[in-house]
Amino acid sequence: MRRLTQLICALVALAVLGACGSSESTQGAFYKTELFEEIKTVVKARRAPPPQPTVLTRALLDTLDAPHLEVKIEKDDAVGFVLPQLVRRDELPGEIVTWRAADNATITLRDGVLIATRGMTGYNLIAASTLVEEGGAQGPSTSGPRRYTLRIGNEKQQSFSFACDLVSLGPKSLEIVELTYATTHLQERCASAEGEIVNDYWVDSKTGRVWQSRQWAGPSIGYLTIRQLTI
Amino acid sequence: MAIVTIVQTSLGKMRTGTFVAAALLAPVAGQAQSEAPTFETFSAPSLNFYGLPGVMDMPNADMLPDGQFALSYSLFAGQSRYNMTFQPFPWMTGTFRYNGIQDLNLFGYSTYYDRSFDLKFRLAKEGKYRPQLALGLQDFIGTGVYSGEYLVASKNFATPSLSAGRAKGNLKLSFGLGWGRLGTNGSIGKLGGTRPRFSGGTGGLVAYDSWFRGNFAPFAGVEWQADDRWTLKAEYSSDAYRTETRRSNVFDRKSQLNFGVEYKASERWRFGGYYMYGSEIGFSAQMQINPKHPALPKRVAAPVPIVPRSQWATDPAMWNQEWAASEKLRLTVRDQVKGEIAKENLVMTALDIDASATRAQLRVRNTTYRSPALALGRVARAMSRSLPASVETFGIVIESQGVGTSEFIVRRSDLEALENSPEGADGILSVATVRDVGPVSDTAMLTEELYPDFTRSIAPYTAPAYFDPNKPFRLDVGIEFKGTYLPAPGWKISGAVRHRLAGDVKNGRASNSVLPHVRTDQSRYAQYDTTLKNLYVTRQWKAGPNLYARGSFGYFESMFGGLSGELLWKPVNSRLAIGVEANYLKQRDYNQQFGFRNYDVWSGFVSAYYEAGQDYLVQLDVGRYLAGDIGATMTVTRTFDNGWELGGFFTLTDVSAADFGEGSFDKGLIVRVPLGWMLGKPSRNTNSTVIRPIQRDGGQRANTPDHLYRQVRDNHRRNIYQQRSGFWE
Repeated sequence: MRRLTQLICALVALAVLGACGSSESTQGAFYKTELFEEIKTVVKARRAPPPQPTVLTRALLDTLDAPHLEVKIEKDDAVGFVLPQLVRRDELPGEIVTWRAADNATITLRDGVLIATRGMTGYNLIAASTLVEEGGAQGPSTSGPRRYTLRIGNEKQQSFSFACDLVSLGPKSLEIVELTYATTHLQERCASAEGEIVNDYWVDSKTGRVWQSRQWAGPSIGYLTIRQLTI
Repeated sequence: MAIVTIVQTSLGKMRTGTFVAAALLAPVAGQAQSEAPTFETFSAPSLNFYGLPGVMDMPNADMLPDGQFALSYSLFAGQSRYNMTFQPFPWMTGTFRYNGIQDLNLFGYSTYYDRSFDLKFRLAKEGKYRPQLALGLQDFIGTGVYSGEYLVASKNFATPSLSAGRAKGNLKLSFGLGWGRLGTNGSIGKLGGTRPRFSGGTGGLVAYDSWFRGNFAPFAGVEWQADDRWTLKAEYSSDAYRTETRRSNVFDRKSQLNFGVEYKASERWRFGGYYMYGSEIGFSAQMQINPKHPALPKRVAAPVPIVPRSQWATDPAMWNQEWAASEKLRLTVRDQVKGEIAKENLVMTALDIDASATRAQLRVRNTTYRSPALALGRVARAMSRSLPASVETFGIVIESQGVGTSEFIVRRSDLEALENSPEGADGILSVATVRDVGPVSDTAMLTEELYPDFTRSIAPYTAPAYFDPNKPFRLDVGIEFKGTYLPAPGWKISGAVRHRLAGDVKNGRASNSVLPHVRTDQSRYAQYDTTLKNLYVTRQWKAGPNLYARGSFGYFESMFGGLSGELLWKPVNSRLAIGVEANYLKQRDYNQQFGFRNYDVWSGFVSAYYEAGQDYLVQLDVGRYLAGDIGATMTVTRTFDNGWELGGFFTLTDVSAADFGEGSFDKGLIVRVPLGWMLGKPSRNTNSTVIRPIQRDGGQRANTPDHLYRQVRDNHRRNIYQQRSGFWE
């Protein structure tokens, strides 16, 4: 509703301030045409029925071929599912996996630590440094500095630098859709002049895999809870 | 509820109340920091009846957040004020106002309409114990009905929340001294002799000789923000409304105390109801936006990540360079790249691969993304996934109307290495080069199906006319048919036909200008329903290193047509650009068909553009204007990287203030709003509006098409660098 009101306000404002100027782009759609198209899209979206929540069972998950993560955006209470798009390495430690959702949003994890989001609603996390180590278990392996960089509303970039303390909260038996894993609960407590964040990782005691995590993706997107549903 | 009593007492008691409140309430202190960091959030301080942060008729010492833009309306006793407010610097607020005073019956008008400008400067920031201090100039350039100056101090105090779960309150106390209009009631002294009295003259001159002259009087205000929705206000006004209540009889002033209650309906909207001067009911509506805080955050589909060649080109044969010798293979590669570029909603116009198959230059038309960095990032990825492994150096040229504006050169291995780097955006800009680019090379493979190209649109249009004293706002509405034909790179033929469906601009006042009527015959031009708005041919080309050229011919706008030529010098890394424009212009017939009137003029300008840092753009044009007058225009614009531009300009020419007429010289405000900011998705469209307090004939320019500066600047080094985080988005 808010969105539609906003678009209609924009139209009224255009009518009053109107036609002294015009669109600068001579290619592609013209200003008003584009605005009308958007209003049509919004009206259509409002008429569509709300999506049904997916009920997860292990039996259902067993039918999937590819690895799947469940990503929950805490702030919106929204859940999405992502599949790996690319697995690679670079000069820094850790294996990088980019996971993609059907709606063209991605998250990128370096050894299970969130280093980027793309295509999500809000200001995306462009990059983040990590404290992962080559070889050992996934997740952070030490205390130290971390830095998050985001693209903000005026198209500029803004960074947040933290001093992070890694704390082990001991063994924890973790259940993810009918399966139980023996994990270690690691907590990364990061402080800065602007505020504090806490990232949680549940790391498999034997294989070193991060089965579940709750990580900060910046002030706009907030915390994400990420669970590995299938491997 | 001590605070409520303070609000409802008279001034005398209020002073003690202030003291009590100050003793009871702790000054606002920084909040405990256990929460996650946040961005600077959008906030919208309450505005007064003049559109500036304040109480009702009185100001306080607040500033708006940097870059804020506000529209507000207030009404009491038949006095309406429409205010447009902008915060161009953190320490300065500016307001342009249009006001109407019903039944003033002075200066030959029953309802008196006027325009005015205000400026307010912050002198000192609020400290723990020190109040914030501001100085204001009200109506400092118009005819002066509202003219006054003030010094005001404000201090904030936190108040407890009314009940559990509600936001904490805030009490703001303000005290000031006013001169001019703000020194007419209860004056306590006099400075520098008698102040000239308002007489409804032509205005437009800066009245600095009367600033802070004459009687001065104290005023005070209390604003209690009870929670995050409701605010209660009270003020003691130092404005006696002499012109309105003594020289005329607009309303009956019984008290100097005003009271109000305001409701914040949303982040951006606030409404208020008031009881003014002991006799009148008032109302206000305020809307605020900030270019830095988009209506909706932009959402762009996630890019396809770069797959390093070490993962897919494992066979040495895949690195061979022989393919570049085969015309067929080159064309296959071209089509492959073109397809990948199209997936990013961009249009490849040419691809050039050198004989050694190690370097590729790709030219692209950016139809989608406002941010050049975002477009470059998408192109670089598309090239990485579609060019053979041997190509190591990428050159990306973003074109504007067929002309390359810069070349962004980056090594493919840097792209592969930096995509997931914690400092990827800074990193890629430090290894990439942005440089000047020439025309398309002879060896380039062009995209064949691009020319000729035709786009058309049918859309409603509105054509407003403002500030006629008899009817301040007139509007024409209708349908516009627009078509653009691109016969070859750099060439454009464009035209628009309008058909008016309804409107009253045709009833506007006739011109009384003593200059050639180059702009003031608006109502004569509005007598016709179907008009040719424009029809012209234009060509753009690269005339030399760092030198861009344009030539145009045709009907440029509803009032003028002719010939126009422009040259622009702008090196990719330079803050400075120099332009020259020369035009031969002929005035079009009122009916806006193909004929011309018997007035022609040579008009031309030398322009300097300077990026002054902090997003300020300064432009100086010196030359000959439409009425044959000679002079200069100064324009200062705050340009936001997301496409917003807010600015102002003034023009001084050899036309005397008397010959110019009302307003004395030409001036106005510029507002450009990018569509993507409202839609929350990429778009290159922008709506621009120029608002002049009065349209006269001096200092006017023709709207010749496709000025070069903005097209070129968009893709130059500074813009790319400022928006670098978008490269990887």
